[in-house]
Amino acid sequence: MTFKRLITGMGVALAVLAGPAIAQDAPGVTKDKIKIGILGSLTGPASIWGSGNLSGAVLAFEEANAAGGIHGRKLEWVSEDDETSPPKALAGYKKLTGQDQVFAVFGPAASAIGAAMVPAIKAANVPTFIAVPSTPAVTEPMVKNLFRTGSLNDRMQGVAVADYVVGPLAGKRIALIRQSDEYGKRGADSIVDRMKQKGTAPVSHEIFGPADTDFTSQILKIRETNPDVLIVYGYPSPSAIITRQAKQLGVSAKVIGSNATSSRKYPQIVGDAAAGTQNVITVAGLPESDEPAMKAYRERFEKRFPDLVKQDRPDLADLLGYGGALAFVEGLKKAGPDLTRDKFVAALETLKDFKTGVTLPTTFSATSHEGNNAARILEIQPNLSRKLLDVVITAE
Amino acid sequence: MRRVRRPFLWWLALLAVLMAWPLVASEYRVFQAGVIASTAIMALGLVIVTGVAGQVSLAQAAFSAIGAYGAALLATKLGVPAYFGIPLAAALAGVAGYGLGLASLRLGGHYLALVTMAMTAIVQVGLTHWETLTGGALGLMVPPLTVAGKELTSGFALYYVVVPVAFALFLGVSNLMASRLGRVFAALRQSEVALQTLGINVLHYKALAFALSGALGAVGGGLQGLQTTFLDPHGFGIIESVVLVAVIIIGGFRSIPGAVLGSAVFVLIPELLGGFQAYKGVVWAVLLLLMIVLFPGGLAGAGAALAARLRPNAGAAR
Amino acid sequence: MLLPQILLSGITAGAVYALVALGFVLIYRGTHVIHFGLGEQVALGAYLVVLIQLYLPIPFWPAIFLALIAAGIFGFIIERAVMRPIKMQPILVQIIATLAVGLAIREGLRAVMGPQAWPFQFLLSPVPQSFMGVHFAWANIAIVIAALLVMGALYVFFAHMKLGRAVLATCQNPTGASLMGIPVPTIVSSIWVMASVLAAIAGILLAPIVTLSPEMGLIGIKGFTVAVLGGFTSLPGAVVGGLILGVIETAAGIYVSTAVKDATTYLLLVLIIIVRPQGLFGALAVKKV
Repeated sequence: MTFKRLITGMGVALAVLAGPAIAQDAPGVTKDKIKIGILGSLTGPASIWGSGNLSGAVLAFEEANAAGGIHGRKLEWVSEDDETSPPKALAGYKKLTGQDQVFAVFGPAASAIGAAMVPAIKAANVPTFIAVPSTPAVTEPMVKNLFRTGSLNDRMQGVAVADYVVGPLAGKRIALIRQSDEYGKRGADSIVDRMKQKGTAPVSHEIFGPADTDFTSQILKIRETNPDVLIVYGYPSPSAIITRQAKQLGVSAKVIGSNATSSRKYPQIVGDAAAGTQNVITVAGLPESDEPAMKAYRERFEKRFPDLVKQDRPDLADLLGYGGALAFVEGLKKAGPDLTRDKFVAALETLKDFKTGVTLPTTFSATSHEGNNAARILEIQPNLSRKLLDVVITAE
Repeated sequence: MRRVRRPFLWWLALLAVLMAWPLVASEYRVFQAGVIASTAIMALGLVIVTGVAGQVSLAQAAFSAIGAYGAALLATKLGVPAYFGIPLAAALAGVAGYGLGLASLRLGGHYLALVTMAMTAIVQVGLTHWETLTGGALGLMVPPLTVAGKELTSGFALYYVVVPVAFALFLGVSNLMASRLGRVFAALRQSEVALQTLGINVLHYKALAFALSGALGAVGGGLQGLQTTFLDPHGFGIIESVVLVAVIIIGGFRSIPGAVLGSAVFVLIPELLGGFQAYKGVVWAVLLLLMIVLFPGGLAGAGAALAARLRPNAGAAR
Repeated sequence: MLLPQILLSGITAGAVYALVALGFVLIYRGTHVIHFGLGEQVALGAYLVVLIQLYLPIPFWPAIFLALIAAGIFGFIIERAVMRPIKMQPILVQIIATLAVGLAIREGLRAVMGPQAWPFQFLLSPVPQSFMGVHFAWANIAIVIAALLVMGALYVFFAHMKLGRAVLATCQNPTGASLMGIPVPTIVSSIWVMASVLAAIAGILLAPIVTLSPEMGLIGIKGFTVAVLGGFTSLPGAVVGGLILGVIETAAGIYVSTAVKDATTYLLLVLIIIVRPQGLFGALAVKKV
């Protein structure tokens, strides 16, 4: 009896699920429209990044449309949420490229998702543009239809941080504490490798989980090694607790964080222990600064997304999304009125030192789809405000 | 006393529909259907051990990790193709499940839940830490299934791998649960003491229920690994185990078709709520609550109630 | 040599879990339900303060007061709208319902307040202090004191106060209790209100320490673990269990390795449970045939 019900139920479900299997001729491009898919984590733990990816894309695309579109075509977009889940991201990508027949995809926005999706992106051969996640897996090795800019890839960030700590910061005893997941491991592996190249090594290397709330064991072990610099490679919540607990337990080393901790509220979250700490940030300027291009962007953002203002946005993810979307739109423009996917890819590859005013300049080429190879360092002041230092760190 | 022919015809009809459907559906929907099928296999394991046999298990994510990583590693390190690798991993998971079941000797209720949760946590840390074997936090690529020289990677191709396997497993488990073994499991849930007085080795049957759940979890995990092509230890944690329990609750937690219904709900409905953007999560959670409150007995139960109302003269319900 | 620091830090870390575990025990003793959304209610408590201060120009302490009231109302709504309609369903279903409640809270907070972390004011000073070479901060000690106070208050409540004893009676034998004139539905509601206020207090104390974000609710898993370790019906068990877990974790990180800290902790837990299945303080359940 149950099986009969199951069958009738499934019949109904399948009828609902059945959709068109026939592809259209021109993917996503018509006489007056270009259809773009935006894929990102709008719910789930990576929603910080996905929501910035979306806000940046929406703002840039609307501005492009307001300025007359791209060679007479207006941009329209479909947004998919991958819920920070790789299978759902895969399904979302298939929907955008297969069912919705978009011209190109902007996203995904989380590193773990990006890494998992490389084979699918390669197989689909749809131009895919990543603006926020920092996993090296999407550009190393290069995939013809996959581009990334904005963030500094974690391998390069490790190199850059190691260079900065050993060089300008002149650290002699460098301790490293990193997250157990892909984000932390990539950054840390890269730091250790680069330090090895320079003939040195961290005096301690401890690991933590992203949801941990106490780091006494890690910090005590680090304290034993008497470091003068402590590199913290992880997400904002654990990094904040570590910074505070390090001070509490008597570790006097200079704390350097990764770009995940470069949110506007971070100094307040940590508290007084944050004064003097530094972290990597991959933007051209601080989102809260009054430098003209940044101020103008912030005002446009606040006008377009008034309910996000109370979350102290725009913040890093929004900037990365916006800067990336500007580069994306520039590529569409340079591809010319006779728009095809191949021309779009070729046009992106001609971008050299493309400045957006909010993110660091983007440079692509036929052999490298890694748009950004630089980062800035910011230092938290005694009054808990943030200040960009005059340092630009680069990596290969 | 059972009418053998009619259920058999229904199963056959179902199989025919399932095999024909992808020919009229899009690649995207077929991919989703495949994911529903692999999730349903994992959920089926829980239906046996938690639904029918009444033993709380938060270890299903660990078993699917054993299946996914086991099969992928056998393929990358030893060249064992997935159609051998997955059954091998499932056997391993079954043995592990049996062992876990033996631990239930002195434990019940939330203590058992904690021990099963511990297993998931330990397996996850093992996968993250044993970098040389599993790639650790950086993840592991799943080699595609190659049959007769052809790589099966599209949603369409994998559908024809996963769904027949799911079909066979569901058919098998259905018959198993209708047999003496199923009755022993149900008795485990209702009164262990009564079983003991009948001279039945309660511990062995509990362990057997866990073993079955482990094997099914591993098959589901292995197949889903082929679909997602990339394994990350992050996706095999306590939360994932809990989600699978929620799947069978929504489906109707002793119900075998419920495993499919629950999986379908969890895969399809969040996508339909896309219009709510950031509020999608809340709406989804509220929908789950509504389903729990309005459908005691899950969706399968609701279906049964509906059917019963439509056929007031049906014979005695099972 | 490191031992005193390990003990102190382990105890302060464990007190965090203990405070959450007490909420689990309270709801379990009152209703036999394991509230898997408790962690999210803890986060909600702190978020309510932030939310209130965003829209009303009132100082911190009045905002806390209002937040506790709001949290209690929220608990009342959960009980009436979700738990009461399903109270006859199997326990596992009720537990999954609490999970869905937690999910709703988490995603709701993420949507309304944003996915990023929020700063939250410390009630007691986080300035590092040191005593005989052992480091601590008053903010962390406050958690230990709070856990002990809550445990004490709940203990008095269950053992000596009429309402508390009524709760226990209701839980053990609802029919008998109602025959005695105990208004069972009201009792159950008041348990949920109490637990929600307790969760909010925990959230307000914990938020500055563990960072206020939608993910803060994950602390519920540790709270559950600790409650089981303690025996699930025992209030002192929850506190002692929490402190022990905190010390085990810290020690495992130092003496084994920080990479496998979690696995080591869980292994030890499993050992304890196998050796003593009723947890540290629980009573061995005698099954009636």
